[in-house]
Amino acid sequence: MFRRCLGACIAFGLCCGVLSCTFFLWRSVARNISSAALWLVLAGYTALAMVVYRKLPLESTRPPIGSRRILSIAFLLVCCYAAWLFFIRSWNYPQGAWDAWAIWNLHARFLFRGGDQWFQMFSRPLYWTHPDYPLLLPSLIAVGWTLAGKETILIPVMVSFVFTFATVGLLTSSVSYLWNDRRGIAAGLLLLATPDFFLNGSSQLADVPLGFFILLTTVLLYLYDERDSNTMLLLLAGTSAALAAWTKNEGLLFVLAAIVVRLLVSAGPKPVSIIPRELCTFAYGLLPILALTLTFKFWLAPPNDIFSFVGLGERLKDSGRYAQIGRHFLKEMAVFGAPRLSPFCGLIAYLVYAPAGKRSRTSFPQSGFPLLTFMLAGYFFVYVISVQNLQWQLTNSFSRLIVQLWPTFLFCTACADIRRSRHSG
Amino acid sequence: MGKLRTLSLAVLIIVTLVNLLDQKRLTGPLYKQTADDLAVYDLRLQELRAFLPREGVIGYLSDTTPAGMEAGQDVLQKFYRAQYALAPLIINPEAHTDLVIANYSDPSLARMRTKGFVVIKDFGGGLALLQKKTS
Repeated sequence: MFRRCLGACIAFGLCCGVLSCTFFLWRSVARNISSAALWLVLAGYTALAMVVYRKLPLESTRPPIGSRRILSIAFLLVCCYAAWLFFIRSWNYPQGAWDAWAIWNLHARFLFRGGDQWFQMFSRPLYWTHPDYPLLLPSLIAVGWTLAGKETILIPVMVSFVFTFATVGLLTSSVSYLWNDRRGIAAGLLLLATPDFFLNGSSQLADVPLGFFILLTTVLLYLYDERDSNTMLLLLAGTSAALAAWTKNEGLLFVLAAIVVRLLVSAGPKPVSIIPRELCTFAYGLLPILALTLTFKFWLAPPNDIFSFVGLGERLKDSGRYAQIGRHFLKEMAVFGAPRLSPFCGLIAYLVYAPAGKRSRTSFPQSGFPLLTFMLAGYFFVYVISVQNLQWQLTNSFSRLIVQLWPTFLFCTACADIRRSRHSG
Repeated sequence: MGKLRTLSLAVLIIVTLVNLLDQKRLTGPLYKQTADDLAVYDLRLQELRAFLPREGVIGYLSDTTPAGMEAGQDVLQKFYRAQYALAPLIINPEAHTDLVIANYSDPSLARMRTKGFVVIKDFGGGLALLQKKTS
């Protein structure tokens, strides 16, 4: 079951992302997009998703797994309860949080309503809508509206619902597949129990979709190392990383992190001759969508409002900024999830409950934590050079950055334990 | 080890349930939307949309000057909501256009501050579509 769920999450995520890119390109050249034509495209991508699903090199035979029926049923009940909460929250706040309607859904309206004037969203008076933000989420919402033939708040709610629960599904199924179902379900429970993740997801923000693509890339890279270097997985990992960049600006940092960490850490134990080949395969998956994102960033969208060369030297030399950012990072990470029960308590319980044991495959490279460390270091540096009010920016954005990395952190924690078992056993 | 595992499973389930129940508290019961809600406000501005060009730029008057809008959360929120409702039309408080949207909290303030304009349609509650008087 978890193998199918994992395959479905991979195929779904990638096809959603590619559909978003297709819609954006189509929107760029066509005044109107007919609903019927888009239904045909959707049918094509559904078929493509099925092909990806079938071709994924996921073994059906796994190491023996104990029966955990009660835990599985409990997990499904918790998922149903979480879905009910999601529904209530969406009913009470149908337009989502401030940033959801003022940025993402507004951009979706420009794409859907704008005709050949959609690019007016990049106009100077609309600087406050952050027109430089990539368009995966707005494009997907506009796809939904075009298919439905009208604007309805159901579409952004559904998109955020699907990404929130697809992230839970991807984490649970990947850990279950790579390790065992007890461990996977524990990881899924822990993610559902993270208040910031759930609230962010149900607020229709883009951090959960970005977190999904970061997790998906990491999972695919792990599977690549696990599955005797099947090139399809590396190709899809490249596509997934590019989709992260097409979701939010932080995704561009993730692309850089994925390449650098892959070169420095993962490729270390491998023969040097393999590295260029692996990099090329990753690049084949990465480049088409990354090219689209960079074209959007540099040719269409106005410059980002947090970077400026004016005063950059002073900001870089200001040690007080480093101390302020460092303090905020530590404080926020320590109280992540507060005032509710900290997910870290759950994490400790999770490690004790589902500890490492014997495992047949032992080829995991340890690239997950360096990847997350690179991301955190990158976020830190962005805060250092930002021209915005530092405290305001830290207060309003850092908890979201943790939400982006949290699913991958949970996945890496599981894999780190596997790694430990390799050395010990 | 068996007891420790049972205990840790209990902790994991408690953390999950407590946090989910707390999210239920934060989410609250299903409630009926009020006039302040964005969805209702959005619908109200759709009436105004029928009187406006589909695209282009339109001026905007509010309780404060364009420069002062950033300071007032309510004024700013109203402006953002108007832009959200009327996209792809661009609303620019600094634009000197013939057609202008007036969006005041206080209707009496609106009457006082919009003397150089003719009211094309008053939507009530401080929201109106104005046109510059031709001298």
